[in-house]
Amino acid sequence: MARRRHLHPGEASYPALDISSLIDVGFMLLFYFLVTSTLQPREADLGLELPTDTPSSNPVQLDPVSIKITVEGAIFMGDTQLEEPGGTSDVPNLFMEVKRYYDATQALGQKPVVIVAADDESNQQRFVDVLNALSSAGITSITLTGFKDE
Amino acid sequence: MIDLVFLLLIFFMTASTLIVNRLDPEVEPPVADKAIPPTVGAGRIVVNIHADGTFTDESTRVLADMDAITTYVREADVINERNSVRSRLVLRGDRNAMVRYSKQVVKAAGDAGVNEIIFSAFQVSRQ
Repeated sequence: MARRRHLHPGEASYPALDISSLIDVGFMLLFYFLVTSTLQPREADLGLELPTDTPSSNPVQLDPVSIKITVEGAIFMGDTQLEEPGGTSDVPNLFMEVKRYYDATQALGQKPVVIVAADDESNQQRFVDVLNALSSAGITSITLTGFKDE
Repeated sequence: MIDLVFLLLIFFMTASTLIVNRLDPEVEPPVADKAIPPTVGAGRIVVNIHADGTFTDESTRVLADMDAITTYVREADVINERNSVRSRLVLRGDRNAMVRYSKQVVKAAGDAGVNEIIFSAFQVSRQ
């Protein structure tokens, strides 16, 4: 005859699974994600490489493109105005032209040469709009002009 | 169980990579949707350009003039060179600053021998 174990009134039943350590692990993971995550948008990079004094192995550069930014924010390529002052940041006309130029230089096996002349009083956001368009088109090496000894 | 916790902690510490640059909160970079999130943290020399034309370094110390910027960039470049790391100037210009200030910093960095420039930008607008 099997014995039956009777629980006495003072004897508590123990849980089948002790989850206290799991709670600690949960807090640890929570702290980790709190530390590493951020609600602030992360800053990103628009990279540029400026020309150096080192002579190029291919000194002949055909058809350099000159981009000018006026103080009002208008953007010219050569003598042609591509963007109006206060235009959108995606500068669609400029992007189309520099993309065409980049594709042409790639087809000819040449390095694209872009000269950016921004008015000193022009806005930083407008200048970055131009860099953004150049970067979108695949051009990351440009020449900046208009440096003054101050 | 405690050993498991420590194991997880060490795993995440070694597996995660945090590129940390101390950011000057007074500078709000412009928006550029084609900007690329940084993947390399080494060699970054940060110069902040405030809207009023004030220049500060990574620790928000004011850089009074172009010579100070050149000296700061050159010193950081020497340290990077010693560690076999290529120097990159991170230009954090306020979106309302004038381009003149960016040109000045680029010229000063060029005088210090650093010709790789990174313009810091937000990929999306914060508004």
